[in-house]
Amino acid sequence: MKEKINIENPGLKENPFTVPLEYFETFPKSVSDRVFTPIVIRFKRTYIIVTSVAAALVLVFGTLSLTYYGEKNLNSLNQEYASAEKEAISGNLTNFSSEDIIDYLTYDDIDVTTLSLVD
Amino acid sequence: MDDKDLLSMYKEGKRETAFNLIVKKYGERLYWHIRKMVICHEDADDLAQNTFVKAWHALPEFREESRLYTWLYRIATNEVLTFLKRKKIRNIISLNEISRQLENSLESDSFFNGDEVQKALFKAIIKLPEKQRVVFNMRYFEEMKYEEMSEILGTSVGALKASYHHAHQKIQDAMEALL
Repeated sequence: MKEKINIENPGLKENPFTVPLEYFETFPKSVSDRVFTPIVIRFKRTYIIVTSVAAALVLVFGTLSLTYYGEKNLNSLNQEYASAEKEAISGNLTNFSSEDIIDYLTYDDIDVTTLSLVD
Repeated sequence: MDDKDLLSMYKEGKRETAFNLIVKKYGERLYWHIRKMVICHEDADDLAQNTFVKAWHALPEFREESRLYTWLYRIATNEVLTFLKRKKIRNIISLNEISRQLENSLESDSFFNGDEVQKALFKAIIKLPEKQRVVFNMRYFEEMKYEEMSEILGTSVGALKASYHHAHQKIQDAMEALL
Protein backbone atom coordinates (compact mmCIF):
# COMPACT_ATOMS: atom_id res chain seq x y z
CA MET A 1 0.00 0.00 0.00
CA LYS A 2 1.25 3.47 -0.89
CA GLU A 3 2.47 5.49 2.11
CA LYS A 4 0.57 8.72 2.71
CA ILE A 5 2.83 11.75 2.39
CA ASN A 6 2.35 14.56 4.86
CA ILE A 7 4.06 17.69 3.60
CA GLU A 8 3.81 19.23 7.06
CA ASN A 9 6.43 16.73 8.24
CA PRO A 10 9.15 18.98 9.82
CA GLY A 11 11.94 16.99 8.14
CA LEU A 12 10.66 18.08 4.75
CA LYS A 13 10.97 21.74 5.68
CA GLU A 14 14.69 21.43 6.32
CA ASN A 15 16.90 23.19 3.81
CA PRO A 16 18.26 20.61 1.33
CA PHE A 17 20.52 23.06 -0.48
CA THR A 18 24.15 23.84 0.32
CA VAL A 19 26.59 26.49 -0.87
CA PRO A 20 30.29 26.44 -1.84
CA LEU A 21 32.74 26.52 1.06
CA GLU A 22 32.92 29.89 2.88
CA TYR A 23 30.39 31.39 0.49
CA PHE A 24 28.59 33.42 3.15
CA GLU A 25 31.90 34.65 4.59
CA THR A 26 32.94 36.08 1.22
CA PHE A 27 29.49 37.29 0.13
CA PRO A 28 29.69 40.76 1.79
CA LYS A 29 33.07 41.32 0.09
CA SER A 30 31.60 40.38 -3.32
CA VAL A 31 28.78 42.87 -2.79
CA SER A 32 31.02 45.69 -1.58
CA ASP A 33 33.37 45.07 -4.53
CA ARG A 34 30.43 45.60 -6.87
CA VAL A 35 29.09 48.61 -5.01
CA PHE A 36 32.20 50.51 -3.98
CA THR A 37 34.78 49.62 -6.65
CA PRO A 38 34.54 52.33 -9.30
CA ILE A 39 33.40 51.11 -12.71
CA VAL A 40 36.71 52.29 -14.29
CA ILE A 41 38.72 49.96 -12.02
CA ARG A 42 36.31 47.09 -12.65
CA PHE A 43 36.60 47.81 -16.39
CA LYS A 44 40.41 47.85 -16.12
CA ARG A 45 40.36 44.52 -14.27
CA THR A 46 38.10 42.99 -16.91
CA TYR A 47 40.26 44.50 -19.67
CA ILE A 48 43.44 43.02 -18.13
CA ILE A 49 41.81 39.59 -17.80
CA VAL A 50 40.44 39.65 -21.36
CA THR A 51 43.72 40.82 -22.91
CA SER A 52 45.73 38.26 -20.89
CA VAL A 53 43.49 35.45 -22.07
CA ALA A 54 43.65 36.72 -25.68
CA ALA A 55 47.47 36.98 -25.52
CA ALA A 56 47.73 33.47 -24.11
CA LEU A 57 45.48 32.13 -26.88
CA VAL A 58 47.51 33.92 -29.58
CA LEU A 59 50.72 32.49 -28.11
CA VAL A 60 49.35 28.92 -27.98
CA PHE A 61 47.86 29.02 -31.50
CA GLY A 62 50.95 30.80 -32.86
CA THR A 63 53.28 28.15 -31.45
CA LEU A 64 51.05 25.35 -32.69
CA SER A 65 50.75 26.73 -36.22
CA LEU A 66 54.46 27.56 -36.44
CA THR A 67 55.31 24.03 -35.35
CA TYR A 68 52.82 22.52 -37.81
CA TYR A 69 53.68 24.68 -40.86
CA GLY A 70 57.40 24.77 -40.07
CA GLU A 71 57.47 20.99 -40.05
CA LYS A 72 55.41 20.87 -43.25
CA ASN A 73 57.79 23.31 -45.05
CA LEU A 74 60.87 21.45 -43.83
CA ASN A 75 59.42 18.20 -45.17
CA SER A 76 58.78 19.66 -48.64
CA LEU A 77 62.27 21.26 -48.71
CA ASN A 78 63.83 17.93 -47.76
CA GLN A 79 61.85 16.25 -50.55
CA GLU A 80 63.16 18.85 -53.08
CA TYR A 81 66.77 18.26 -51.99
CA ALA A 82 66.28 14.52 -52.12
CA SER A 83 65.03 14.60 -55.72
CA ALA A 84 67.85 16.96 -56.76
CA GLU A 85 70.39 14.66 -55.16
CA LYS A 86 68.79 11.64 -56.80
CA GLU A 87 69.00 13.32 -60.20
CA ALA A 88 72.64 14.20 -59.63
CA ILE A 89 73.52 10.68 -58.53
CA SER A 90 71.74 9.13 -61.52
CA GLY A 91 74.50 10.69 -63.66
CA ASN A 92 72.17 12.27 -66.14
CA LEU A 93 74.13 15.35 -67.15
CA THR A 94 72.04 16.24 -70.20
CA ASN A 95 70.46 19.05 -68.19
CA PHE A 96 73.84 20.77 -67.92
CA SER A 97 75.57 22.59 -70.78
CA SER A 98 79.21 21.84 -71.65
CA GLU A 99 80.08 25.28 -70.33
CA ASP A 100 78.54 24.48 -66.90
CA ILE A 101 80.49 21.24 -66.73
CA ILE A 102 83.76 22.95 -67.66
CA ASP A 103 83.13 25.71 -65.09
CA TYR A 104 82.47 23.13 -62.42
CA LEU A 105 85.62 21.16 -63.29
CA THR A 106 87.75 24.33 -63.36
CA TYR A 107 86.34 25.39 -60.02
CA ASP A 108 87.20 22.00 -58.53
CA ASP A 109 90.74 22.07 -60.11
CA ILE A 110 90.10 19.03 -62.29
CA ASP A 111 92.07 19.02 -65.49
CA VAL A 112 89.73 18.71 -68.46
CA THR A 113 92.41 17.02 -70.59
CA THR A 114 93.08 14.44 -67.86
CA LEU A 115 89.40 13.75 -67.79
CA SER A 116 89.24 13.22 -71.55
CA LEU A 117 92.19 10.82 -71.26
CA VAL A 118 90.22 8.70 -68.82
CA ASP A 119 87.40 8.38 -71.35
CA MET B 1 22.57 45.95 15.95
CA ASP B 2 18.94 46.54 14.99
CA ASP B 3 17.70 48.13 11.79
CA LYS B 4 17.04 51.52 13.39
CA ASP B 5 20.64 51.78 14.58
CA LEU B 6 21.89 50.75 11.16
CA LEU B 7 19.78 53.37 9.45
CA SER B 8 20.88 56.05 11.94
CA MET B 9 24.49 55.13 11.25
CA TYR B 10 23.80 55.46 7.51
CA LYS B 11 22.21 58.88 7.97
CA GLU B 12 25.08 60.07 10.15
CA GLY B 13 27.40 59.60 7.19
CA LYS B 14 28.91 56.21 7.94
CA ARG B 15 27.16 54.97 4.84
CA GLU B 16 29.58 52.25 3.73
CA THR B 17 29.96 50.76 7.22
CA ALA B 18 26.20 50.75 7.73
CA PHE B 19 25.61 49.17 4.36
CA ASN B 20 28.22 46.44 4.94
CA LEU B 21 26.51 45.61 8.25
CA ILE B 22 23.15 45.40 6.47
CA VAL B 23 24.64 42.97 3.93
CA LYS B 24 26.12 40.87 6.74
CA LYS B 25 22.82 40.85 8.61
CA TYR B 26 20.47 39.99 5.73
CA GLY B 27 22.72 38.46 3.05
CA GLU B 28 22.25 34.83 4.03
CA ARG B 29 18.53 35.10 4.66
CA LEU B 30 17.85 36.80 1.30
CA TYR B 31 20.12 34.34 -0.49
CA TRP B 32 18.03 31.38 0.75
CA HIS B 33 14.80 33.14 -0.19
CA ILE B 34 16.16 33.59 -3.73
CA ARG B 35 17.81 30.17 -3.97
CA LYS B 36 14.58 28.28 -3.26
CA MET B 37 13.00 30.15 -6.15
CA VAL B 38 15.73 29.83 -8.78
CA ILE B 39 17.32 26.53 -7.54
CA CYS B 40 20.73 27.16 -9.15
CA HIS B 41 23.43 28.58 -6.82
CA GLU B 42 25.07 30.76 -9.48
CA ASP B 43 21.76 32.43 -10.36
CA ALA B 44 20.92 32.90 -6.68
CA ASP B 45 24.35 34.44 -6.00
CA ASP B 46 23.96 36.84 -8.89
CA LEU B 47 20.44 37.87 -7.87
CA ALA B 48 21.38 38.26 -4.20
CA GLN B 49 24.25 40.57 -5.18
CA ASN B 50 21.97 42.53 -7.54
CA THR B 51 19.48 42.94 -4.69
CA PHE B 52 22.06 44.66 -2.51
CA VAL B 53 23.46 46.76 -5.36
CA LYS B 54 19.93 48.04 -6.02
CA ALA B 55 19.35 48.56 -2.30
CA TRP B 56 22.54 50.65 -2.06
CA HIS B 57 21.38 52.92 -4.87
CA ALA B 58 17.84 53.17 -3.47
CA LEU B 59 18.83 53.68 0.20
CA PRO B 60 18.94 57.50 -0.02
CA GLU B 61 15.23 57.40 -0.98
CA PHE B 62 14.27 54.88 1.72
CA ARG B 63 11.67 56.70 3.85
CA GLU B 64 11.24 54.03 6.55
CA GLU B 65 7.55 53.67 5.72
CA SER B 66 8.23 49.95 5.73
CA ARG B 67 10.79 48.01 7.72
CA LEU B 68 14.27 47.65 6.27
CA TYR B 69 13.91 43.89 6.26
CA THR B 70 10.60 43.86 4.33
CA TRP B 71 11.97 46.48 1.94
CA LEU B 72 14.99 44.29 1.14
CA TYR B 73 12.74 41.26 0.72
CA ARG B 74 10.63 43.21 -1.75
CA ILE B 75 13.68 44.12 -3.83
CA ALA B 76 14.86 40.49 -3.77
CA THR B 77 11.43 39.14 -4.74
CA ASN B 78 11.16 41.60 -7.62
CA GLU B 79 14.62 40.59 -8.79
CA VAL B 80 13.60 36.92 -8.78
CA LEU B 81 10.29 37.51 -10.57
CA THR B 82 11.97 39.66 -13.23
CA PHE B 83 14.66 37.01 -13.70
CA LEU B 84 12.08 34.23 -14.09
CA LYS B 85 10.00 36.35 -16.47
CA ARG B 86 13.05 36.97 -18.68
CA LYS B 87 13.86 33.28 -18.59
CA LYS B 88 10.27 32.48 -19.53
CA ILE B 89 10.42 34.81 -22.57
CA ARG B 90 13.61 33.10 -23.71
CA ASN B 91 11.98 29.70 -23.20
CA ILE B 92 8.91 30.54 -25.25
CA ILE B 93 11.26 31.36 -28.11
CA SER B 94 13.15 28.11 -27.74
CA LEU B 95 9.92 26.16 -26.97
CA ASN B 96 11.22 24.94 -23.64
CA GLU B 97 9.35 24.98 -20.40
CA ILE B 98 10.82 26.94 -17.52
CA SER B 99 9.81 24.33 -14.96
CA ARG B 100 11.61 21.65 -17.01
CA GLN B 101 14.75 23.79 -16.95
CA LEU B 102 14.52 24.32 -13.19
CA GLU B 103 13.95 20.59 -12.75
CA ASN B 104 17.10 19.91 -14.75
CA SER B 105 18.99 22.38 -12.53
CA LEU B 106 17.72 20.50 -9.50
CA GLU B 107 18.75 17.11 -10.93
CA SER B 108 22.26 18.30 -11.77
CA ASP B 109 22.76 20.51 -8.71
CA SER B 110 25.88 19.42 -6.86
CA PHE B 111 24.81 21.64 -3.96
CA PHE B 112 21.59 19.70 -3.30
CA ASN B 113 21.85 17.36 -0.32
CA GLY B 114 18.22 16.40 0.06
CA ASP B 115 16.72 12.92 -0.18
CA GLU B 116 14.27 11.67 -2.82
CA VAL B 117 11.24 12.98 -0.93
CA GLN B 118 12.74 16.46 -0.69
CA LYS B 119 13.62 16.33 -4.37
CA ALA B 120 10.03 15.40 -5.17
CA LEU B 121 8.84 18.29 -2.99
CA PHE B 122 10.97 20.78 -4.93
CA LYS B 123 9.87 19.29 -8.26
CA ALA B 124 6.29 19.92 -7.18
CA ILE B 125 7.06 23.47 -5.97
CA ILE B 126 8.78 24.30 -9.26
CA LYS B 127 5.53 23.58 -11.10
CA LEU B 128 3.61 26.28 -9.22
CA PRO B 129 3.10 29.68 -10.88
CA GLU B 130 5.92 32.05 -9.79
CA LYS B 131 3.90 34.31 -7.51
CA GLN B 132 2.21 31.37 -5.81
CA ARG B 133 5.65 29.80 -5.39
CA VAL B 134 6.91 32.93 -3.61
CA VAL B 135 3.92 32.81 -1.26
CA PHE B 136 4.34 29.09 -0.62
CA ASN B 137 8.08 29.35 0.07
CA MET B 138 7.74 32.32 2.41
CA ARG B 139 5.08 30.61 4.47
CA TYR B 140 6.21 26.99 4.27
CA PHE B 141 9.99 27.30 4.67
CA GLU B 142 10.44 30.70 6.29
CA GLU B 143 7.24 30.53 8.37
CA MET B 144 6.69 34.19 7.68
CA LYS B 145 3.59 35.89 9.06
CA TYR B 146 0.88 36.75 6.52
CA GLU B 147 1.06 40.41 7.62
CA GLU B 148 4.77 40.56 6.78
CA MET B 149 4.18 38.80 3.49
CA SER B 150 1.44 41.30 2.72
CA GLU B 151 3.88 44.16 3.37
CA ILE B 152 6.47 42.63 1.07
CA LEU B 153 4.22 41.50 -1.75
CA GLY B 154 1.62 44.24 -1.58
CA THR B 155 -1.21 41.67 -1.54
CA SER B 156 -4.00 41.43 1.02
CA VAL B 157 -3.70 38.89 3.84
CA GLY B 158 -6.90 37.16 2.66
CA ALA B 159 -5.57 36.71 -0.87
CA LEU B 160 -2.28 35.37 0.49
CA LYS B 161 -4.06 32.84 2.71
CA ALA B 162 -6.13 31.61 -0.23
CA SER B 163 -3.04 31.42 -2.45
CA TYR B 164 -1.10 29.44 0.16
CA HIS B 165 -4.00 27.06 0.73
CA HIS B 166 -4.24 26.29 -3.01
CA ALA B 167 -0.49 25.88 -3.34
CA HIS B 168 -0.41 23.56 -0.32
CA GLN B 169 -3.12 21.37 -1.83
CA LYS B 170 -1.39 21.25 -5.21
CA ILE B 171 1.93 20.25 -3.63
CA GLN B 172 0.26 17.57 -1.52
CA ASP B 173 -1.42 16.08 -4.62
CA ALA B 174 1.73 16.32 -6.73
CA MET B 175 3.81 14.60 -4.03
CA GLU B 176 1.36 11.75 -3.81
CA ALA B 177 1.47 11.35 -7.59
CA LEU B 178 5.28 11.54 -7.72
CA LEU B 179 6.06 9.07 -4.92
